[in-house]
Amino acid sequence: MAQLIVEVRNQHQQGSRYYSIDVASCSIGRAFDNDIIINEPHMDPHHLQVQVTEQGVQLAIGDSVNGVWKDRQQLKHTQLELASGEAVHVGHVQLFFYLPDHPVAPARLLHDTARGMREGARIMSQIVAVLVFLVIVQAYASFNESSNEVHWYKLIADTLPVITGVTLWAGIWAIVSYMVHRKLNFTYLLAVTVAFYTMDSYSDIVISYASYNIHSQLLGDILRYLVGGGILAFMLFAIFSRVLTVSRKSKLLVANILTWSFIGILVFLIHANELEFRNKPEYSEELKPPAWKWNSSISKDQFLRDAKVVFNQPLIPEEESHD
Amino acid sequence: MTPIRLAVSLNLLLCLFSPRVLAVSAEYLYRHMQQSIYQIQVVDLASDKKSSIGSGFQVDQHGLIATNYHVVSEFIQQPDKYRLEYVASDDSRGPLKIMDVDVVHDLALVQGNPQAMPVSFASRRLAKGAHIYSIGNPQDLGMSIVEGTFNGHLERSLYQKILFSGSLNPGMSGGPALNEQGELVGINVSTAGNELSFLVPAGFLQQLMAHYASQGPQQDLIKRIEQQLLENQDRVIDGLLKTSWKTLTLGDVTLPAEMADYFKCWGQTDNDRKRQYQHSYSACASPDEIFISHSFNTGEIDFRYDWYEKDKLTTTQFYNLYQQKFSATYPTNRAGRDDVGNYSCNTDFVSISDNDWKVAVCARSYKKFPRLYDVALTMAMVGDNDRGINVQLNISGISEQRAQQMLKKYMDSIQWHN
Repeated sequence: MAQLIVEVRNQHQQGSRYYSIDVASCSIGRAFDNDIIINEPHMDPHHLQVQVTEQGVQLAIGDSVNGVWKDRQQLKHTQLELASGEAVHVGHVQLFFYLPDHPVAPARLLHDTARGMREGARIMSQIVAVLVFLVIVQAYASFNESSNEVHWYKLIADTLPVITGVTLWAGIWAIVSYMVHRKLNFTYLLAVTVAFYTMDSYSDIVISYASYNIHSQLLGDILRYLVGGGILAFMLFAIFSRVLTVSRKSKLLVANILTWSFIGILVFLIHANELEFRNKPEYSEELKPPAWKWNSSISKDQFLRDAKVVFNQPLIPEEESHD
Repeated sequence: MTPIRLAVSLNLLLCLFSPRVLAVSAEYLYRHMQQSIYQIQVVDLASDKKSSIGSGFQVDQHGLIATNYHVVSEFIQQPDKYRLEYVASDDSRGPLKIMDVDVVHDLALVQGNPQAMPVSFASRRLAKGAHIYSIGNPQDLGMSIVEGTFNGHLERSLYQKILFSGSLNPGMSGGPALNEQGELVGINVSTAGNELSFLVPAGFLQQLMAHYASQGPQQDLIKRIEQQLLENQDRVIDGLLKTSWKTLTLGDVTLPAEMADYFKCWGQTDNDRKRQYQHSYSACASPDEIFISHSFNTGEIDFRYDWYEKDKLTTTQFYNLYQQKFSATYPTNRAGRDDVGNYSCNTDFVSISDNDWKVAVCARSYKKFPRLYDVALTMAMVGDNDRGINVQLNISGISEQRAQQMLKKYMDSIQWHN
């Protein structure tokens, strides 16, 4: 009779493999003389030793290259006690250890419509909750931007393009997630996108306050890009954490590389656009009433002295000004 | 007395007792003057077809012709794309060279080789209501004479002009306007439709001819135009800096109104019931502009005030609306990519009259006249949750020094009454 059951889940593959061990101890590693052979490149040839004890399962972890991960901690050269059903990570593999009397759920009905509907209703209610939040955020923004009489149907109409855009964005990532993990994660991705949209919509309040207090167009612009970029990098990282299979560090790196390249391209395009002829003066437009300020406004004379710079701007290069 | 003046005067004497006196006078004038009046053509070199037309008239015995600056401006701006020609009444034609210009009063002197009699200048002042005759080639339909009335000089005008109650049409620009003795009173320049036309007083042409006689032909016309624009803005802005400006009150703010008697102001309050806020505005502008090319004019000053009260709006709604209006600034003068650079702006929060204002000053420099700028000032009072005012001032064709002086005086003239 089996004394121990080891479940091996590979993050890159669907499903699990179960090993039924009928002795009190077994070895796990890449080498062919192990009881359980796992072909995972981050695993040592003889990675760990498992022993069944009276309390549960005991792991003897040797001096392997990558060690064993439990609760986000790397363990090497140690003994680890586990209860039946607990798991550890080795590389991209998750190892679950069960004792033979570990309880299992009763069998599901082959066509359990009620359970399917409950599950569907749970997911739908989560999606609806996120979208209702988005509708409230967007309708409030539309209400604030309106200076004529506000009708509810106009507010709803204003939210529709935003809902479509947000759903499409979350949907694209859900497809990527399904291709990688065979899991949609749609509710999560939608919630992350809505959170990003909300933060982005309200970040201009921060910019307004800063604009009131920072007497420098350059610093104001830098702050604008830092806040916008920070929010974007945060969203990408949150998405990648459910979509990609690389390490946390790599996800953070990719999110930041994408964000700041995007910001860099944006700044380049804005700068390139300055070489094009524009008939309209462009300046920062924030007028929001300041709830607090830590700096006073400057004097007229100071402002006029500062304004001298506008007379010393280089002209658009001649070759750029012709079609 | 020239033969033309003698003939016309005799004819008038003979016709004194005739009921057809005016018709005969116009007929005689035209018959005797037509040889001295030319069509001026700007010809496109690539297609060898005329690109624009105007009129001109001979002012000395050596082929010097006077016309409007705007008739020949295309050629001045792009001499490598066009050539300049005159066409005489007998269809003979010849090349023209530009000798001198007065861009402020829209005059040009061109040199050809026609051998007609020059038009002489009127020596006496005309009385209001006197008949004058304008000659030119309207719409390229053939040389025509138009009879009208002298209605004096425009009283509220930055650049002196004669009000001519007669029909001027495109193509007649640069042609002469004569009194009943066939003497030059003015030069056809523009029309406001419905027999409301304008002439450049002949005195400005005399000044230009005197300058030409003493200085000779101008080698660098662009430099000459820049000098004229600089001198003109010095004169105009000096005048504005020395006088005290009239003020107007809009909402709770006192603001500059007519800076000089030639400014025109108007105002309006919105009565749209659907609006959840109150809005009134006042706008003032100087009526004249200086033509530099078909894509470019300058010499204008205008300002506009928009007063907003939030009424039924929430504070956030009010500030969103206010911010939207603050960003909607456009220059009022016409200018293209070949004429000006992009605006460069400086913005900040400035304390004016014990209140905080968001102020943006923007300037763009002229490509061919680097000492001149278009300047735009935009201001909005901030910090009051219920009320606000947007101020927009545009000055085109001003030097940096004058712009600084004007901006200071303008901002000093704004008072908020709490």
